[in-house]
Amino acid sequence: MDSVLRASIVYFFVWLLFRAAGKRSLSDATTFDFVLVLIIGEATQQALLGEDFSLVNALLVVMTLIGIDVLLSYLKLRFPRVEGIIDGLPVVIVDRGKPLSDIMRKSRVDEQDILEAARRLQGLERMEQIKYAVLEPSGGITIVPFRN
Amino acid sequence: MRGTTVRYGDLEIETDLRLQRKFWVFERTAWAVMCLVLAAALAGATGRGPLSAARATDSGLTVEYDRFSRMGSDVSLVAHLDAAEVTSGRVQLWVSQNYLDHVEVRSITPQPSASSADGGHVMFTFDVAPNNGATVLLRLRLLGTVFGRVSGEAGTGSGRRVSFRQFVYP
Repeated sequence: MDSVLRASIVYFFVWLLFRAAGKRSLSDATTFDFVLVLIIGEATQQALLGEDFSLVNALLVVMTLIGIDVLLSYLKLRFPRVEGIIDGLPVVIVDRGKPLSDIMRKSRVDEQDILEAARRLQGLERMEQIKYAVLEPSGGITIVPFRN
Repeated sequence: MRGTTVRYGDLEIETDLRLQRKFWVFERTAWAVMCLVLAAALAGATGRGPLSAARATDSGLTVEYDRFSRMGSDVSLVAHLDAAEVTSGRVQLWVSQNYLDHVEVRSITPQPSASSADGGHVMFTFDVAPNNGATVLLRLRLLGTVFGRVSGEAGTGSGRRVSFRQFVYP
């Protein structure tokens, strides 16, 4: 009982924290973000396992985590609204060459981030070449260029 | 598979600015809550800090304890006994059984020379060297094994008693 509850609580809290931290937090992983993920893993590992290093405990924890994952993917399919709540929604941040500054500020994205994505993904040079830029639920920025 | 896709200019995308605004409000609220939790933790609301340190006194006996502790982490109980409590080179301290049911005794310093259980108490007897009137300090290192409110009592062989309450976080 203990193991299942522990795993569920940790899953829920980690989800809640990452959701609260926002899309941009661990996207575009820099070296430091990678280290941060490792440290978070270490910190939660203790809470997940407690002082019980038995095989059964480990299996129960893994089963719980995967079980929640499967359950959530089913819920997302069944109730479309749930997916938006769990994973977040895409947000349009550039509309026909115009950066939407209010939305960008709230999403913590600046023009440099968009231009970088435009260079990397589409080889674009200037903001006015971007038709749409979208901040995806994964935290990455996708670019639709003007076609001429 | 996503929810309802809408038309945003030429884009076919599942974006919902009204819901997104609610997410932003949630994010900002959560940051504020995180700040409050961390500030409270720094102050000791989750154990070990000024908010947590407490003492209970009954004339010759003072017990220092933590108001807040966490399951599976160490918590200490320090008893200060006046020299007047020492009788023929020995001093006695008891701790209520119901408190000891909720913790695991890791160590007691100094080691008691004897311990005995009787109707709801565990009595520890310590040998004390002649120390010309200094306070005797007894330290119990404990480990919380259950979470929730825990109350306990401690006392001396001469009838002093103090009670204390702790909250043990899971």
